[in-house]
Amino acid sequence: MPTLRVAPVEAGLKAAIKPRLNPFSFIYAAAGAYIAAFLVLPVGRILVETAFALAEAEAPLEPGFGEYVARITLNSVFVAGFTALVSVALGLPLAFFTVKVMTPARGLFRVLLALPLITPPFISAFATILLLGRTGVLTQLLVRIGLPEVYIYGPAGLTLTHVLHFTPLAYLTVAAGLQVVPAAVEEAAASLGSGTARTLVRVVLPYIRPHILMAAVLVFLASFGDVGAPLLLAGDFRVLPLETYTSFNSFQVDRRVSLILASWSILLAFLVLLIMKRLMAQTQVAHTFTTRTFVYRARLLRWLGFGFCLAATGLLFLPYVVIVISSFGTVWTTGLLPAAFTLRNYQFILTNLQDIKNSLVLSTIGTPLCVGLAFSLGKLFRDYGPRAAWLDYLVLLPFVIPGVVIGIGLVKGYPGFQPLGIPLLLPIAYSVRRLPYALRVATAGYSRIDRTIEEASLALGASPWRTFWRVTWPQLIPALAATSAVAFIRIITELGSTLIILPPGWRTAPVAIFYYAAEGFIGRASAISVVLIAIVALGSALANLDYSRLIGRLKTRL
Amino acid sequence: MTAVVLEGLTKRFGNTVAVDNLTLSVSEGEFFTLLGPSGCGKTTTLRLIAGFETATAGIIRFGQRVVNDLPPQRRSVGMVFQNYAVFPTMTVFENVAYGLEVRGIQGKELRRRVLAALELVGLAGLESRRPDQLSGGQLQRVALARALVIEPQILLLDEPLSNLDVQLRVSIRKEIRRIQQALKITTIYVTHDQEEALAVSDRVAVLNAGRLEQVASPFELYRFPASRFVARFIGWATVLSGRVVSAQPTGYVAIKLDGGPVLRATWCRPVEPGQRVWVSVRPEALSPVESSQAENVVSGEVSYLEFLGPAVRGELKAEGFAEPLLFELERPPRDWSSWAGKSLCLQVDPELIAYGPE
Repeated sequence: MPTLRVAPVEAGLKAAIKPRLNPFSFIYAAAGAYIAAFLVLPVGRILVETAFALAEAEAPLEPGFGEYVARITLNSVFVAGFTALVSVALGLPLAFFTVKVMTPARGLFRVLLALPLITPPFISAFATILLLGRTGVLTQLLVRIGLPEVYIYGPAGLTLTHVLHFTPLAYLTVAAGLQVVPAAVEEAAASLGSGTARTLVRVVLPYIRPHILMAAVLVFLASFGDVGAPLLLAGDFRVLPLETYTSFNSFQVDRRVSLILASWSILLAFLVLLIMKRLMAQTQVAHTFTTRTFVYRARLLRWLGFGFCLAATGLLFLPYVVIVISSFGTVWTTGLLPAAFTLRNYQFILTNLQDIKNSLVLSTIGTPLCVGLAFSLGKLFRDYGPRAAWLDYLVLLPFVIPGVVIGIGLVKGYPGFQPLGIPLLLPIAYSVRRLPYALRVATAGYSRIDRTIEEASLALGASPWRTFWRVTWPQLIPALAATSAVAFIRIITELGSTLIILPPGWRTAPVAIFYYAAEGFIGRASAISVVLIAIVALGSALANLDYSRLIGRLKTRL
Repeated sequence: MTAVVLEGLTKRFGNTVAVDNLTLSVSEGEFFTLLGPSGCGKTTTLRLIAGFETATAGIIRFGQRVVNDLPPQRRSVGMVFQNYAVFPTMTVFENVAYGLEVRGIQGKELRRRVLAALELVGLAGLESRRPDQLSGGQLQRVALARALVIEPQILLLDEPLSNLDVQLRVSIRKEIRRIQQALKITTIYVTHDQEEALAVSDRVAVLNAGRLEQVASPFELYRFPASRFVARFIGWATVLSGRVVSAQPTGYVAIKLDGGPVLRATWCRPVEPGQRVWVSVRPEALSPVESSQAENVVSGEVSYLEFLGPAVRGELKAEGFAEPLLFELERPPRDWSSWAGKSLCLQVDPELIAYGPE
């Protein structure tokens, strides 16, 4: 028997903390430095500057400033809250009919209902103007029937646009929840004599409650932080991100106003983030068993579902139909169709490609930055687990902080940063701002790789570096392709931070759409929108390819 | 071939103690099994030995060398995982060759050794297959070949058979034992299946809640369990409480069961008269007798019966016993089911009674 010598606890602790320096340590350090420089510092700077500006108090703020902030915050909360409510109310039945009922063509509906998500909200806003503006198609129809005109420049138009645009987000989140309800739960309910309605209300809805709440929070956040639709539609109705943007760009407003509004947005974002993190833990239920989905077979439900899905899909696609028609039209003010059809708008774009070229150049720089960051952090989270949870909070911030605010932070932190004539601040802003999206796809890719496979490699004597490149990386390639595509389509449609940073000569396609729409060049704005939608649709198609199967096929052919 | 020594090994995760002050040594070339219910710390112990976890306290030695601070890739252990962990993007050949490549072995030598390893586990001819073209049993063999080809000092197996069906489990465990005997490699095997542990091991360590209950050969473990927990965990047994009446070293020990008769057991460990003990009675220790007057006889009513094929197992509700006595009778007669509810006298073989201080 060996003599019993218990090593002191400190020895064990030292072994655990002892930094195992390997090449990844440097990658983590670089990723950390990037996050610190381009997210933490800019956001922190806004908060600190606000504190100083308030403390100095050279002159008191305008009287009534407090009420003003309260009003625009309430306005934003009202629009976002109402949007969330209606979107979930629409998304829930859509999800039920396409996941749980044998609705005819439900596969097609599932694809179509996800499509609007890839386009930016300001295109939807633009479409709302085409539909319901003073000379809109629907407005004319309403007038002909003798109904009163709808005034869309304000909360009504804004909410309508956001509902049309964000319902797919609510739909997808709820549908994901419905898909993981194990069939056994509903079968048990049915075997106990529970009817469809009772099972849905008593068993299914409580089961997916976290997903429903999550859908509401996601829609709320997206609507709350959007600046594109308010720019075109808000009219005199003041909302927080738009006010932050205009006060930053205006010389007439007190310099402190934009700072205070930005800080206020950041504080609200932290609050929402806390709620969201909690919900995320509940929605990411990983079943160890494979789940079947229970299907309700009643014939009536099927046709009810078909009708509902058809109507909803038609409604959600109406904006895009109008934009496509308008892009081929000359003037569209008095008829149900444009006065004449023409290709001039596209010819104009072809001869003025600068905006699209700018967008492509900036996205091509921003995407690898974003993807590289996402995969470095994904690996870091995998290696450090709960010890890196605080960092996880940090990198989710760009999801909840409006783009305008991130733009302000970066412009203040790095004014005139333009090495080699390229305004690198834009791709950097994009990479940080779209990181949460990329990170989500990347971590999903990592989590599909069984950890014991990496352990097997280590046990065989391979270094962590070799293990990553020989064992982990080949399995990550499908996730890399998907992450790149998601990052690209999110980056090329970014508007908030672009508006703030926008260096001369670097107008992007989204800014051009906004500019043409505001200046009344409706045909041109439509045509660029169509081109942009085509680009993101292509990107999205690439994101949804089954890469693992594709690679397998290529390999067997070689 | 290397001995493995654990001294005061402790692993805590937050407030839970997964492995609690574990001390044991595995000899060179020994087939050593860590056995216990789920959550007893056996897998954590194995992962500590492999280097995937860092010990909170204690020492792990391979031979003379303390390996606590050695990262897993420098420990030269072969490990087989419960879910095989075969690299999905590599062929069978590439999987097995991987560890050799890491060691700088190339060309003909690499090929020769990979093919030899595949031959050893019975996978010759499948080297260009991809993992998704293999069955569970074949994947398990790939994992085994991959672990063995690097000629590790120590082979670690983490529940390697638990994902296979019963027939395959029995045949692969035979093969693992055969290969281990041929290579004389120090092997540490983790399982929760006690039959598997008894079948393949030289020695077995029973763990419970992170603590070591007993280390012994399979025979000793079954016949002379060191604690109430081991008696209950290994095989079937009725475990009762009692007080020692008399004890003759190397002779018999008489124990008065609480509320029951006095039972005579063959001496297996020192106890003092008057001492409180637990008593374990194996089902096969009981055989029917005509009269209750003979020695070591328990009588009662048959309260439950089940047919197992080679035997009938039942429960005897004996007067004064805290729990029913399990019995097993081989080669049951045609009218075995008529025993149900009848009273029966059963004599207990003192050889198959174990006891120990509470």
